[in-house]
Amino acid sequence: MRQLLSYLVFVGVPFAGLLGVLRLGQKLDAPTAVHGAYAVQPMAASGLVCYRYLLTGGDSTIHLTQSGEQLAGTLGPNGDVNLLGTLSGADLSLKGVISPGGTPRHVACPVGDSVRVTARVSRWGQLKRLDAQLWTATTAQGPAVAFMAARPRRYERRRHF
Amino acid sequence: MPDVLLLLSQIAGILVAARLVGRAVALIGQPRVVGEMMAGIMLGPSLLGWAAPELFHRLFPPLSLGFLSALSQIGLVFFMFLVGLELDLKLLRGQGRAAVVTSHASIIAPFFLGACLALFLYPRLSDDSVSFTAFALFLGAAMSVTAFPVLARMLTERGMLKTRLGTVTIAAAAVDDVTAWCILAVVIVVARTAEATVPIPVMVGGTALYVLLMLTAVRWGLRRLEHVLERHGGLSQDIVAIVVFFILASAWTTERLGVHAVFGAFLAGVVMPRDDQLVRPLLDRFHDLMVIMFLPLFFAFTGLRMSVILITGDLWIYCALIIAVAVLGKLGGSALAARTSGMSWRDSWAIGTLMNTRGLMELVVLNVGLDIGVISPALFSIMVLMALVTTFMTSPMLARIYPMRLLRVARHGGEPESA
Repeated sequence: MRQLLSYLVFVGVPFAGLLGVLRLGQKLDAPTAVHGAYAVQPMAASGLVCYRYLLTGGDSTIHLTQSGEQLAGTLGPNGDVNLLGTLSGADLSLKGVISPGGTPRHVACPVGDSVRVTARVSRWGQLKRLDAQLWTATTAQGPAVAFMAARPRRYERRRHF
Repeated sequence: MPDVLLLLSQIAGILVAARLVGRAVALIGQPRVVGEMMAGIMLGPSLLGWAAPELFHRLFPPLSLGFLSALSQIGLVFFMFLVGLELDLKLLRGQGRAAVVTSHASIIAPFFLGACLALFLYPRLSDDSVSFTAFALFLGAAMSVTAFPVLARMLTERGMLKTRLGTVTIAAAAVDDVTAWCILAVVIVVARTAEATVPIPVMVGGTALYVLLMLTAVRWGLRRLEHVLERHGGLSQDIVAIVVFFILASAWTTERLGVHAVFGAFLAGVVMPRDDQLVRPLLDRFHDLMVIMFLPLFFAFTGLRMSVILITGDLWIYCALIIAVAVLGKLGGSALAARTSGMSWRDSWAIGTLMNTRGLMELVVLNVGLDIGVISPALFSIMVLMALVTTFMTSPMLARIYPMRLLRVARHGGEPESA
């Protein structure tokens, strides 16, 4: 009898509670999903070699991972610049620094230069699209470079990296 | 094509770091596996990437990590086979009442608390591509994992395996292990319903059929291996090759069905015949390569995916909360259930402490969760820290609850006084 009672208390009650929690959780909303690898679309090359490399070199990609409203990402064909930022509704804001060894030497990205990306995410047919702007410390006083990046709306979720 | 020089440097660096940190933590009475887990994290962006970014970029450029990932996945497949092979299903049958209550409570209590925590974490650390059900079930499953292999080794090293405490704990951990993998399979199905590459009926029906086939026909067929072993007078290279093929085929099948490859490998281990001429020699052959090379690669792979940098501000509070809930659910749930089953307080706390060891099994579960996208990178990083903390706390807590003088009494059949 004691065993049965303890089984009910320690197993039965939490199990019933679990079902209740699963029901309750259906009412919760989570932030919009923006994670994934966005291919940077071909664009007119900017004057700076570093920009050209980050946005148009090879298979340039903006790769975003997401934890709620917190974002982390990389920019460039080889994930060259690490970015951290936040999501607010459909607006993204990310910042990073060009780290030593992060970009190839020949593109002359100034080490320690800060990089800022802002973007708005939207649906575009079967794609998810980022309308983005890039600033670096070098161009902080000047105009930002606008670019567009996109990924399929449905994609293989496996996150190896 | 892989850059062979780079890959060799990566492997060498990982092995050296794992051995050094493993040795260092062994000096303070921790299992080496804790040090190897720490070494993996230290090689990632959390320490090396932060302290020496240039070296980090040179040693682990993003494009090179695919090969390291592939090697660690293969290692993981073989490791899960060994976990299945070491699992003695007889333990599940011959359980005492204490083990039944303890094992079930040690799963459902942390599972329930994990799901409750999901109510708080889902809007903060997830996104709308993951359903709440999948998120909550995964968090529950991740909270209820026990590191069966680490636990078995700890009990053996301390000579506790044959004590009542040892038998109850090992039986409860075995039940935990099987249950956790079943739950995780369900979570994968739930998580992948929205964007499955394999149709859901094929995934569910195919997996169920495959498990049934493995537990009946394949298991029966594998018994023939015992006759082959007798004829060959032991484990020949041909038999090892057959076993390796069998592991890979089983892993391939479950991966193809849309469930993770680790399930197929685990199942392959579970259905292997328990012949003394097969199990021990197989474990011996795989063990060293596994421990020295593949597990450190897996830890490094995990460390590279984990980043403490992602844990900022309030996330440290979430991290403390997750660790507290994990310990409360697993340690508290198991200890209270064991106590109400008639065990002494000292034994009950010892059982709770042992069951709270999550070790690398937690890392396996977390990597599966990150693979299928049900947890976010920040939550993954927090949960890896939780796995490390709960594994790290086991040895000192156990030494305090069960000092050597009391352990000697328990080994000789006496009951130590209640604490």
